[in-house]
Amino acid sequence: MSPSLTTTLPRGTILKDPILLASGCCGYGEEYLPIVHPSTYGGVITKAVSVTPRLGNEAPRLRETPAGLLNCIGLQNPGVDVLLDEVLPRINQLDYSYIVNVVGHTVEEFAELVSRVQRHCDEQGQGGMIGFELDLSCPNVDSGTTFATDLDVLRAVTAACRAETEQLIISKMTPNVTDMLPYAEASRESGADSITISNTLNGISIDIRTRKSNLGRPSAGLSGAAILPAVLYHIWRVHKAMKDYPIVGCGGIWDADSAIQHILAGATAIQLGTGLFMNPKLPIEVQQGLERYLTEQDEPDLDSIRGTYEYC
Amino acid sequence: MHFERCTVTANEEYGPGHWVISLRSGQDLSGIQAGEFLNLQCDPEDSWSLLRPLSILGVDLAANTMLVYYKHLGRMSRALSSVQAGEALNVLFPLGGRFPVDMSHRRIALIGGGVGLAPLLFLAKQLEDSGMEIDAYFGGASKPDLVLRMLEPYNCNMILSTDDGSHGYRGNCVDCYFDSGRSHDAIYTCGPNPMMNALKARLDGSVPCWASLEEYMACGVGACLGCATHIDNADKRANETVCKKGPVFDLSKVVFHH
Repeated sequence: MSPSLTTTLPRGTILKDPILLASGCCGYGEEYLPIVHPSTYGGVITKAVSVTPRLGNEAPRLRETPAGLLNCIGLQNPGVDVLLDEVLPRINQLDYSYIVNVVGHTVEEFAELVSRVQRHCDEQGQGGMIGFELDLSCPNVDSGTTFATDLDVLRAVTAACRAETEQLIISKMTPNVTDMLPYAEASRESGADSITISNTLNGISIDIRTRKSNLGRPSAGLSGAAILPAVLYHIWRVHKAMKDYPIVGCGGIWDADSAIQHILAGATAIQLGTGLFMNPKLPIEVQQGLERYLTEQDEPDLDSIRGTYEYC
Repeated sequence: MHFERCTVTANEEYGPGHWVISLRSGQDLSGIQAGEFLNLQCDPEDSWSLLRPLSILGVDLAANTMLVYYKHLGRMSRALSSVQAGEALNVLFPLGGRFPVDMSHRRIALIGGGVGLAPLLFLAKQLEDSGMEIDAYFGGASKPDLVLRMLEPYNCNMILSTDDGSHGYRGNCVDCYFDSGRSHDAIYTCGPNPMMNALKARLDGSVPCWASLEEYMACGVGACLGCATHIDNADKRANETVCKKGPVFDLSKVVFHH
């Protein structure tokens, strides 16, 4: 009997397998349809949506680094009106599961976004929508801090979003902290069902001739295979202390081996991002690699291997 | 759109640092149009580096190959030049949109430099039986940059320029175009941003000009928005993806920042 990749997240969320495409790397899931249809794996997390449209940053927005990629896209998106009026009705016809990523400048904006998307689901039907991901790596204009690194605003924004929906909420953590555990605990206490570990690492790239940034911003977010060990560390650290709190691993997955490492460190589901740019068929290769690994290890499912990393 | 491991059938240096690689596909290539590009793995052993966006120079339907012109610019293009015939590379293709062509036009101009010649030469090839007169204003820093051997198979009026005057008109291809005094129904351009910006500054809007842009890219399919460029539409400014909405844009609407 072939092993099962079926993945369960809180609030009755069942995925075909643990594979999700990371927000910001897959648009709304449509762009990769000709290569691999998202209905053949767990699902996609849509591009972050804000209350009003955002133009994003000036070019250059990308800079490749050794085994990595710096980006400063700047959350370019058409705003929630377009998402609800045009995008969701369109992708609801495409028969795949998706999580809506939301981003705000204030606690109120986050809550408004969750409320509006929830109301849309209530009135227009659920379609493929299975939950929310909160993008907390942006500054809160009220406190001047980043949602993801200020425990008080992290609790406030999570609780405010929780009050607006009964659906799955995943909070996307930043890796730019010494210890992620307090932030994970705060997320759980304030109502997030799960956390994504993690967003990008802070980084810069300098043009040594001009002594200015190689990007359109002074700093940017680092992703790609280069960050795999750092992300695995955070997953392992949180899972060890919060074994029953589901983690969505995100960062550095470029093949089946790196995906398996996420699960061994403690991830329940995984997100593919930058790896898609090198290999758009990565979801299928990871899916096949997970099945092969479970078979070789004589394990029935992913629950049997999750968090089984032994470090001594 | 396909993601395929294509076999390299040839990889040849046409001039110092100027290479053309041939990639054999198992797909039907007859629909590929001038202006479209592909994302290419440059090192068959490297799974951690981004695929490189490169314009398609042409398609050989008999051999079912796509031709790509590239130049030694950095680590990845050097890696690509060491790939041997028989090796295989991952290719995502075709990407982006084509050059718009009005078949009622009688005379068109191609203005380009560097690897920007690739989509323009493909366009010249696709239009060689159209009856259009094609003036190609191609420029380079010096004679070796013109890669004359690569230009031989094309049936168009080559008006060449070099910055140092070592071949053809002394000066850049934009000055060469305006000094020629010839009129055209449409202009197609591809090359360094300063070159295209200079062209934009001197056009008065009476002739349509289509520019194929280059930008740092990651996904190539419009998913990551990493390649967005500033497009100034009449009603509003937008950041449009070069990979999906482009790479060909109306030059008059492009705002160059770098």
